[in-house]
Amino acid sequence: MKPFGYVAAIDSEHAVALLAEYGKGAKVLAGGTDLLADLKFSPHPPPDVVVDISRAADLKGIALTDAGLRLGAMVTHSEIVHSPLIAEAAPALAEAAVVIGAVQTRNLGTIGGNLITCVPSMDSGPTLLALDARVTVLGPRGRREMPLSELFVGPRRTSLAFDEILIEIVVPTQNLHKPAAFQKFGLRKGQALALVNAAASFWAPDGVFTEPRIALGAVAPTVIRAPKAEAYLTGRPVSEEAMAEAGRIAATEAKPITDFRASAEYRRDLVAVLVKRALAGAFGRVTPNQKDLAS
Amino acid sequence: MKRRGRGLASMWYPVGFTVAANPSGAVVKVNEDGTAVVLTGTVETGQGALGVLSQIAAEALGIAPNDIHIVSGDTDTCPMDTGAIASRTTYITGNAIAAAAAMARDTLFEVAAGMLGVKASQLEAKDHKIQVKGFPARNVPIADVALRAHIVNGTPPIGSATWNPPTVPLDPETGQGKPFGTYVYATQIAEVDVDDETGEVEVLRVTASHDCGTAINPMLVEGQIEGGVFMGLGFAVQEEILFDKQGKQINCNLTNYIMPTTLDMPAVECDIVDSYDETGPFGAKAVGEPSLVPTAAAICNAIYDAVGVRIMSLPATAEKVLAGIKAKRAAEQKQIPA
Repeated sequence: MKPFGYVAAIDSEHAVALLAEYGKGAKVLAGGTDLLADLKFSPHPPPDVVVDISRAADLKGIALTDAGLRLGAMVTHSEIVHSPLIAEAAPALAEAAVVIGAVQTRNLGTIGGNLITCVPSMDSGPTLLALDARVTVLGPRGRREMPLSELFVGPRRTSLAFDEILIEIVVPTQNLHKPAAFQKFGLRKGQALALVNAAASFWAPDGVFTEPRIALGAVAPTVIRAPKAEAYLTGRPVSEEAMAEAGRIAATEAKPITDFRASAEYRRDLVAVLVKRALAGAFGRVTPNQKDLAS
Repeated sequence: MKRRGRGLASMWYPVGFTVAANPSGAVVKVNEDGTAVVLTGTVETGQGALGVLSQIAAEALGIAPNDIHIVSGDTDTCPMDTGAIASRTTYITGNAIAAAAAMARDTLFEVAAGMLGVKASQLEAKDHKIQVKGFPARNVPIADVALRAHIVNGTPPIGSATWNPPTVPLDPETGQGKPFGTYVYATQIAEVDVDDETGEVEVLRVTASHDCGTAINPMLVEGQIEGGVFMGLGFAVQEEILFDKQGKQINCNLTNYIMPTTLDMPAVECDIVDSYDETGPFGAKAVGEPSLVPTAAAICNAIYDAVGVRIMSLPATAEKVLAGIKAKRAAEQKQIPA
C-alpha cells in the first residue's frame, strides 16, 4: 500500500470543507471496508489524503423524523440488523443488512458506504429502492435531496460531485410498515457477493397489489427497478401465479452479464425466482391495518 | 421448493506404500528425571501429529504425553522421515517411535531388574513406574531407574529405530502385489436440501463412520474427519480453479475462489469404528486424507436422491444442478405421448 495523508472530520460540514480543500485527490473514509480493499488492490493511484467521516456525530443514528425513518450515512449494517426501530417499521432493511459480508464487515461497513461504492451487487440498494427511499447530499453549494435511484449512475459511479458527501437516507413516512422483503443468492452463505439480489414491496388493500415496487441487484450496471413487472402487478389480485409472472417479467427487464461466477441465463432464472420469493415474503408481512400504521 | 435427499458413499484408502522404500526413523532418549525426548524428521502441519506421536512414545515408556519433548522437522539433527504425506505419519513414524521407545525402555528394564531382583522380562512400564507384571506393588519410579542408568550403570536409556513397511515389488507382468502396508475404510452419509428452482445444494448433515485402526487420540480423529468433510463439501459443491484462455487463473483470491464458510458447514457426526491393526503402532492406521474421500460422492448421491439429477463433473454448483433439473424436466416432457 502506498502512503497517503489522513484527516478526520468532526462533522459533515467539516468533511465537506476538507473535501473542498483537498480537491479530487481526497477520498472519503466511512467504514473503510471497501476503501481499504481499493487502497490495497486497485490499479489506480492511491488518494493523496483520506478524509475520515466516521467521527461525525451528525452522520450517525437511526431515528423517526417528520420525513420518515432517517438513517445517517454512517449507520453500520450491524446497527440496522439490531435496530428495534427498523425491526418495527422496515424489517426488510435488516434482512438485507444481515447478509452483507461477515460480522466483522457489518460492524464496520456503513449503509452510506455501501450505496456510495455503488457496485451493482450491493445488498443495501434494492430494499431502499423498493421503499422509495430518498437521500440527502451535502456539498459546498449546500444540501440537495433526491430519490435514491438518482444517486446511482453506473458501476462504482454515483451522481455525487467530488466535494459532496451523502449524509442521510430516509424511508418516507408513507412507506413505513409497507410490506417488503429482500432476497439474495450468493455462491456461499457467508462472505458472499450477491449473484443476484432482489427486493419487493406492495400494499395489499382488499387483496389487490397496490404501489408494487420491485428492485434488482447485480443484474445491470446499477441496482434497478423492474417497472414492467410493477405495472403488471398494479391492480391485480394477489396470487402466487401473479408473483411468479412478475418474476418472469422482471427477468426480461434484467440485463445480466455472463462471467466466471454464472451465466446471464442463470442470473435471469434467479431473478424470476428471487422476485417471486421477495413478493411472497412481503405478502407474509401484510396485516389488515398496515396502511393506517404508516400514516 | 426444497427437496430433501440422502446419499451414501464408501471408500477404502491405502496407507504406507510398499513399492518403494518408505521409511521413518526416530530416536527416543529417557532423561534423568524420567521425562523423554523424541527426535523425528516428520513435520507437524496442524493436524496434531506431534500430539499423537507423543502419546505413542509415552504409552511405550509408561509416562505421560506431557513428559515427552518432541524435536521435529530438522533433518540436521533428527532422523530421516519420508514425509508428512500420504496419511502415513501415525502409521509409519508412529511405528518407528514405538520401536525406539521400546529400545530405551528395555535399557530401563535391565537396570530395574537389578533394583527389583527380577528378570527384565518380568517387568512392565506403567504410570511413571517400572513394575513387576502381576505385582504392581513391587516397583521403582522411572525417574530413579533412569538416573541410575545414567550415573551408576553407565547405560543411558536411548533407543533408535527405523520402520519401513516391507517393500514388495509388484509383479512386472500382472502388476499385482501388495502395494500398501494397510488399508482404512469409511462410509459417509450426506443429507441435503436441493432448491429445485435455483439448484442450490445445502448440505445439512454428514454422518461419517471411519475405521482408522486404534484411535490414538479420538478428538484429533474427529478433527480430521470434520476437516475432511469441510474439504469434501467444497470439492462437491463450490471449489473450482478457473483459467482464462492464456491459462492464467481467474479466481485466485478468496473473494472469488469459493470455498465453504462456517455458515456452509453441515452438522458432522463422527463415528470411530472399533478396530485394531496388527501392523500399526498400538493398532493405529490413519485418518487424514481418507476423511474427505467419500464426502463429494455421498453429497452427489444425495443430490440424485433429492432431484433425480446425476452430477458427472464437480463441483455441483447451483447453476449446474439447475441445468440438470431443467434437462430432466424437458426429457420427461418428451416422453409424454402426444
